[in-house]
Amino acid sequence: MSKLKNAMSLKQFMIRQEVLQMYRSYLRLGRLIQGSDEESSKKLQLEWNTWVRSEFDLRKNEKNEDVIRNMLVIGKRQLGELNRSIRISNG
Amino acid sequence: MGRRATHRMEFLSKNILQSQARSASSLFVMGNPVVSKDCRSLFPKKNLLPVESNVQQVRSFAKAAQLTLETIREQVLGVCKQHEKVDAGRLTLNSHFLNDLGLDSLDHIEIIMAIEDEFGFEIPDVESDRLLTPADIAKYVGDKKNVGD
Repeated sequence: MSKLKNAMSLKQFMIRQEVLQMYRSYLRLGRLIQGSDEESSKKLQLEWNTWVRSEFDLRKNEKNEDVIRNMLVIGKRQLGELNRSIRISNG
Repeated sequence: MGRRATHRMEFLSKNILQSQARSASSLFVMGNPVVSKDCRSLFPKKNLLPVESNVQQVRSFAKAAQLTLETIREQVLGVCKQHEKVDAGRLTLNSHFLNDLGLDSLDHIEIIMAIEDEFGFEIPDVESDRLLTPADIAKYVGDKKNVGD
């Protein structure tokens, strides 16, 4: 009985999958980052990954579904903006 | 030259070319028998200063001709050990990332991304969800690279 209680609802499962997908998208975006040379590129990518991870860690204990959904919307919008910025800076 | 002889020549040279191409491409892979430096950059906090790899190339070129399931397994384990949250002492081929090693799903994603960097191809989300042990990953990579064994 307790196993059933702890199981995620389908909605929760879907939201969680969206979050994980967004995390992956952020990390893939980081691969596009270029510095002036190979060493600086790696440093920038390391900083990016650390930053993304900390942003997700900050919010991972949120339980309220509406708040989570809101964060997803904001996160996706920011992903698009950062995507554009990075592509512009790469020239 | 007779017709049969020319056919034999073509067959032989085609095979020589193919096996040369195969060993050339696997030499490229075997150039990094341990974890490539690139995947280190993916993991935060560990190795903040650039570090030269101290590990020597173990295989001679003569033995380096084959990308086998065994070499893939070693590479996969190497990548996993690079992750700051992975306890290298406890890591085995069958260690479950979530249940045995106590990682969370973000760590798992980071490991899969590093595997992508290591082997040079992308792993779709749906597939990576079920790659929860180094053994699973190695088998998956082996299948994708059409490795025998």
